[in-house]
This record gives sequence, structure tokens and C-alpha cells, in this order.
Amino acid sequence: MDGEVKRSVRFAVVSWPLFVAALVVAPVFISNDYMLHVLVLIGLYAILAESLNIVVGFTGQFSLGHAGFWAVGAYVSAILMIRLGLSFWTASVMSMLAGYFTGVLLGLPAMRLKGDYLCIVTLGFGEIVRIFATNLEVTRGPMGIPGIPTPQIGGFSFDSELSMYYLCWACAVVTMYIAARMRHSRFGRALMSVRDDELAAVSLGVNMTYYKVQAFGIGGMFAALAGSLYASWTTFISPDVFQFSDSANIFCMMILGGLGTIAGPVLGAFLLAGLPEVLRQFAEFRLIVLGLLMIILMIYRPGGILGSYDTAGSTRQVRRRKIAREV
Amino acid sequence: MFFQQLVNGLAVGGIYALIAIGYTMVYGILFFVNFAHGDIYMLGTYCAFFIFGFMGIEVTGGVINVPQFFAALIPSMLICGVMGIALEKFAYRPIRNGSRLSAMISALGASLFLCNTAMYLFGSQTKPMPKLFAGEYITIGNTIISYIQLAVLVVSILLMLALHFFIKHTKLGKAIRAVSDDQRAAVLMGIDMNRVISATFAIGSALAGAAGIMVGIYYGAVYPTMGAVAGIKAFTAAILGGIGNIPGAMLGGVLLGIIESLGGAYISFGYRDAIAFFVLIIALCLMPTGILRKGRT
Amino acid sequence: MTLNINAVSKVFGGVVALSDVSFSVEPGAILGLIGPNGAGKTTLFNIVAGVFKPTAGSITMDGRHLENEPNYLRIDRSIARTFQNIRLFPNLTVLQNIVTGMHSKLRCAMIEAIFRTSRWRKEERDSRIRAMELLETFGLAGRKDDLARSLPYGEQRILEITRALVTDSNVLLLDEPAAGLNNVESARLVDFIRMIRDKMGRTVLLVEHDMNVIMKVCERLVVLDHGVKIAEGEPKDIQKNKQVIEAYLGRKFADEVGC
Repeated sequence: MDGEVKRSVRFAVVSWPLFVAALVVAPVFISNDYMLHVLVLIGLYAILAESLNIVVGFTGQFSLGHAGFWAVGAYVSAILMIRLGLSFWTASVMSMLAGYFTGVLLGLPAMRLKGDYLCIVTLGFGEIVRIFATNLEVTRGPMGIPGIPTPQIGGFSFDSELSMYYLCWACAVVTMYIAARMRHSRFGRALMSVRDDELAAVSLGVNMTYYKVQAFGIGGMFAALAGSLYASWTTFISPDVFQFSDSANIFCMMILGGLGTIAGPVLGAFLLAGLPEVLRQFAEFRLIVLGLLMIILMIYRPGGILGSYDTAGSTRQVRRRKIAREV
Repeated sequence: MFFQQLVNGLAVGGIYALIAIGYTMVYGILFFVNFAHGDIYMLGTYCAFFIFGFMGIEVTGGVINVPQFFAALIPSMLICGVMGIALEKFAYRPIRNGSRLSAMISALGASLFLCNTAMYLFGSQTKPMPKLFAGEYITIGNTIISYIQLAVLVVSILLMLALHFFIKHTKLGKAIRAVSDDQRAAVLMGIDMNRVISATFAIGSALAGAAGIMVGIYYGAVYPTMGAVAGIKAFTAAILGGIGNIPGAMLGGVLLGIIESLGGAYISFGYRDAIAFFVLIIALCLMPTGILRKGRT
Repeated sequence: MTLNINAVSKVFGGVVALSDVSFSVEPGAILGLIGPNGAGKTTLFNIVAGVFKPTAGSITMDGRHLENEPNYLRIDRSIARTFQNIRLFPNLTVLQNIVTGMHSKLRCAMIEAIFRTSRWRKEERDSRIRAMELLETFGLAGRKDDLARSLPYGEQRILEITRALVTDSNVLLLDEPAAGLNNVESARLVDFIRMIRDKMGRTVLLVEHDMNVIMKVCERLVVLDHGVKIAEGEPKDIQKNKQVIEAYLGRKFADEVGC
């Protein structure tokens, strides 16, 4: 085995168990429900940011509509549980399927577009989902859906913050693990090759269309899982939850932590979902400070906190920016 | 009803166009989307709100006349222009050599900052705005055109004509065009990039400020998050028209306004915004570079 | 494995870029495609590589028509290419670049990577060994963990050719491989191209401007001018061909040389 892989394996052997162990014992030190509540929220955002990372960080497709998949997952799961009386487990698998197919559907028009055009189409997608949720009868419009059942297994019900904490973070760790494994597979390398140079990837036999669409599908699938968990956790969803600002927020988490890395999006989730809650005593200032922090971070650490990824790909606009840089 | 919706769409479209111009001008020169643009527009509305207060006009149910309107419009545009220059200087200039992604995040950060600062300073509630002309209107056939709609259209057209004149015939305007055509050549010809970029932000922001006032008066309301939706719509309009292209932004704005208005009337009011986005997605798939592409490819 | 270009024409919005060009690339040949600027070399190259579809005519590989196939299937027809302005995967390591080149040969689905099945472990190990062999051959083994974007230009060029080789394609299309290389690097390139043919038995079709490289490495040349094939033959004959000299240097010069 070569050095790079050896190093990354050694790192993984130490860091994964440490990370998981820290997550398992954390509740011992956190007795108050509010902090657990915040941690659940961070876990959900970690899933969302990590799944967006597959679309943006691995495949290089800008997406500003990730909250749309989140909403699809939450609504499909909630409706299946309430109307059809399905269990949480069945409903969340169905919602992941729904998320996958929605992703594929979005990927089809998106595969012809790049950069800012892709941004606006995905942004539009997020808005379309919200508008449908506001207007459809089955989603109860702006009133939202209350009374969503919590997950049950055997006689155990996940109705405490603690149990949801374990469930959500288990899902987050699985998502992270899958994303990490993906990078060492034929599939993941194909995604990254499309990100780095589409034409070169195609010349090596990579079916670009297929991989771009699949990236959206898989990203959508995990975001839907987060949605399904969210619905059962808060027991109430309404269209207001899934705004454009959430898509932008998820996007920022991924970038701030480090695009294309595995730990980056999770770190970003801790920062952007956690900090505002921790700083709640400065309620009025916290988002002002957060905005400033984002600008400052981009000035001093443009690749994100953990990132080394060079975002200057080979698109035409980037080349033009490079010219601007030279002169 | 068709003509009525057309008129409504034109008025809203003119406003979208004014905001879209700012997106497109910045994109034409720096190649990134200034997400804080919508918040500048929101600040424009607040400027007018306070100027009217200063002039002693009742904001609730108050009526202003044309001179009062311009007395608020011009200072608000100036203030927004200065805000735009400051925004560029603090949030974008330090990362001008960075990637597009960092510019995008910085823009989102700036948007968060502006929106929440406004919320902190002015409160998050919706505040009323005075009316221009007390709801008077003219009728042509069955079509009702209110004076305020006429005013919005006239002011939008005047501003766009002024912009057109500025871009085509002044030295600074020519410099802006040169930079957006070929940056390297423009700099080699001795054009000061910083000055051009500042001017671009000033103009775009001033137009957004003007749009903000008109929207405030048109709908009679002002609130800190009003920038988000309008920003998305205007960005859509800019893309629809072909981003980087000023006439394209105007066309895109007007088209989007009309599509929304007609879609809302004939298909479904609730799905009005969704229709606009569907049209955008279809249009982009058929014409991946917008309706009017930028001169050079 | 004979690659045939049969009466290919290409029109871009009224401009005729290629008109009725035919030739064939025999197995084991090193064939150079040359011509003055704007002769249509790159257009023809891109048609063979599947980037453009010809307006008329066909491309066949052992009688199989390729002209209407999507771009990414060229690898399955045993045709690999490099690019004039090197296109590597800049954020992947040298080794990852090569392993990505094996995309069409690897079989394991993502699910096997997630569960680390034995088939996946074997496939990854084998592909890594194969990649390292090639990197050794081309002197890049010491660079395997460096990001592709950090390599010097000359090594990037070699890496790109290595990546095309690892696909095991019989026909290699090289688009101006000597562009931007200094004399030492081009001499090395000539050796590599020879080795690719002699030791690995590949067929090479290259477009090139550098006449030094062309004359040293090619055994056969096809000359294009204004989209028309004006000559085909061995380098020494082409050097004396009046039409070719005219195309490159103008009629007056050709008369003075006295061909």
C-alpha cells in the first residue's frame, strides 16, 4: 500500500473511533435538554451539509436548493406516517427514495448547466418545493402538518431528546462514512474527475451525464433522510421551515468547514448551527456577528477551515477571473 | 383581464429590471453573484421610510406628492450608492483574487449582516409606507392603470435611459464597458479597475435603492427580510436575460414580471412564483446562456 | 485494429473546416497529422476523438462505425486521447489520476467500497499495482502522492499520456504533445512515444506543430491544408513535396527551392 493511503488509513483508524466515542459519551456531560436539542439540530445539519458535499464538493455542481430535498423528505415521511400509518422506518426509507428520484429529476435539466445558471435552477427548485408545500392540500398549506409520530422500535419510543440525539447522530455518522468510502471507489473517483475536468473525464470513458445525475440523486437521498428525522423530531413541519436561507446556510456550512473534505461539512454544521444557539444570550447580535465571521473567514481562509481544495476549476468564468488576477 | 395583468406585470417587471441591472453589472465585471444586493434594495426602502418621517409625512395612510417623492428618491439612491461602494470595499475587495466560491460565501455573509443589522436597528415588524397619489387611476377600456403604476413605469424607464446614456456616452461608462468586455486589455489601456468596480457597485446599488422606494410605496410596506425574495426574483431576471448583459437584465425583469402576473391570473395565484421558476428552468435548458447573451463568448 | 477515416467533411455554420478527408491508421503505426494553422487538424482530431460529429463521412474501427457514438464510448472502442492544453484532474493525486484512467475497466460498484468486500479490495490493490508499474516506467513513481496541479509542466504532459495508456486502448491520440515543452523535454517525449509503440504495441496518431518532433518520431504523415488532404507519405517524401512546401511557405518560396 502506498504512503498516501497508509497515512489516510492511519488517520481514519484513529479519528473515526475517537469521533464516534466522543459522540457516544457526550450526553454524559450534557445534562440539560436544551444543549441536547442543539446537538440534534447540528447532527441534522451535518447530514444535510455532508450530502450537499457529494453534489458540490465531489462533483462540482453548485446547488442552492438543498433545503428542497430536506422538505421533500420531511413531507413524504410525515404524510406517509399520518395518512397511511406507516412506521417511521418504512416512511423514512420511502422518503429517501423520494429524495433520490427528486434529485435525479433535478439533475436532468441541471446537467446541461454550470456555475451560476445551475445555482439559479437549484435555487428555483428549492422555491418550487416550498411553493408546492404551501399550496397543496395534502401538505395542509401554510398551516403545516402537526402531530407527526416519533420513531418506535419494539416498545421503545424515540420521544426524548437523548434518544433522538443518538438516532440522528447515528445517521450522520453513516452518511459521513458513506461519503468517505465513496472517495475510494470507482464511483467517487468518477464524480471527482467530472468536477476537475469534464472533458478529460469523458475521454476516459466516464459517462458524465450519469454521474452528475447520480450525484444529485444521492445528495437528495441523504437530505431527505435528514428531513424525515427532522419531521419526527419536531413533530411539526410547515413550509416556513425550508427557506432559501436554509439552503444558503447549508451551503455555507460546507464551504466554511472545507469543501470536498469529509469532516469539513460537519465542522461547518457545528459552527453555523451551533454558534447561533450558544450565543443566544446575544440574540440580536448573533446573526450579525455570524455574517461578519463568514466574510472574515473568506478573507483569511478561503478554502474553508479544513479545506485544501482548489476551487479554481477549468470553467470559462474561472479563467476570466484568473486574467483579472494577473492584471 | 389580459391587459390588466399585462399592466400589473409591467409595473412589477420594471422594478425587477432595476434590481437585476445591479446583479448583471457586477457579474459582468467580477463574475460573481452579489447576494447582498437584495439587502441594499431593502435599505433603500428604509431610507425613504425615514426621509418621509423626517419630512413629517404620516406613514400610515399618508399621501405624498411628486416633489416629495423625488425628495426621498434622490437621497436614498445616493445613500444606497455609498452603501454599495462600502460593501464592495469591505466584503469583496479583500478577496477579489480568491475563488468565485469565497466571493459567494462572503456575499451571503454580507447579506446576513445587512439583513440582521436592519432587524436590530429598525425592528423586525412590517412598517407601513405612505402612498403616492391617493389611489387615483385612469381607465382605458376595461384596464385600470393606477397613477402609482404609471409613476413606477415612468421612473423605471427614466432611470434605465439615464443608465443607457451613462454607459454609452460618458468616460466612466465606457470604462465599465471596456472592463466587462476584456479586462486585460482595459487595464493595459490604463483604466483604473478599482474605480470602475466602485462605480459599478454605486450604480447598481443606487438603482436597487430606487427600486426599493418604489416597491415600498407600491405595496405600502417595508420590512427587513423584503430583500430576499426580491433579490431571488431579480437574480432570476438577470439570468433569464443573460447575465452580464444590461439590456438583457431589463428585458428579463420585464418578462419575469409579465410571466408572473399572467401566470398568477390564468393558471393559479398560489403557484405564481413557481410558474416563474418553471419558465426560467425551461428557458435555461433551451437557451443555456439566457435570452441575450453577452457580446463575446 | 485499423482506424479508418472515410471521406470526412465538417462544416461549421457555412465554413468548411474539412472536406472529404480519408486516410487510415494501420495497427502499430506512428502517424503524424500536420498542416499550417487553420488547416483543420484539430477539427479532424476532435472528430476522431468523438468531440464533434462529422457533417459527412464516417470513422470506423475494424469496420465498426463510431461517428454517431457518444464521446465517452471511445474508450470502449479502444481509442484514448490527450489534450493540447493538458487536462489532468488537478485536485487528485498523480496516482488517483492514473487509477481514474482505469474507470472503464474497474467493475466494483460503490456498495462494495462501502462494505469493503474482498472483490473491491483486490480490484483496488490490482489497479494500484498496475498504476505504479506504469508510473515507474515513466519516472513518475516518486511523485505519486503529489497533487497533479503541483507537477511541473513537462511531467504533467507525461502524466496525461500515462493516464491515456492505462486505459489499455490500442489507439492513442496525442494532441500537440510537444506544445510548451523545452528541447530536453521534447527529446524525452520522442523516446516515450517510440517506447509506447515498440514496447507496448500501441498505435499512435498525433497532431503536432514541432517539425523536429514530427520528423523524429513519425513514420507516416498526413498533411492537411484548408481542410483538404494535400499529401500523405513518409516524412522524407513529404519534406520534398511541392504542394506541402507551398502550403507552409507560399508558392514563391516553393518555386525558389525548385521543387
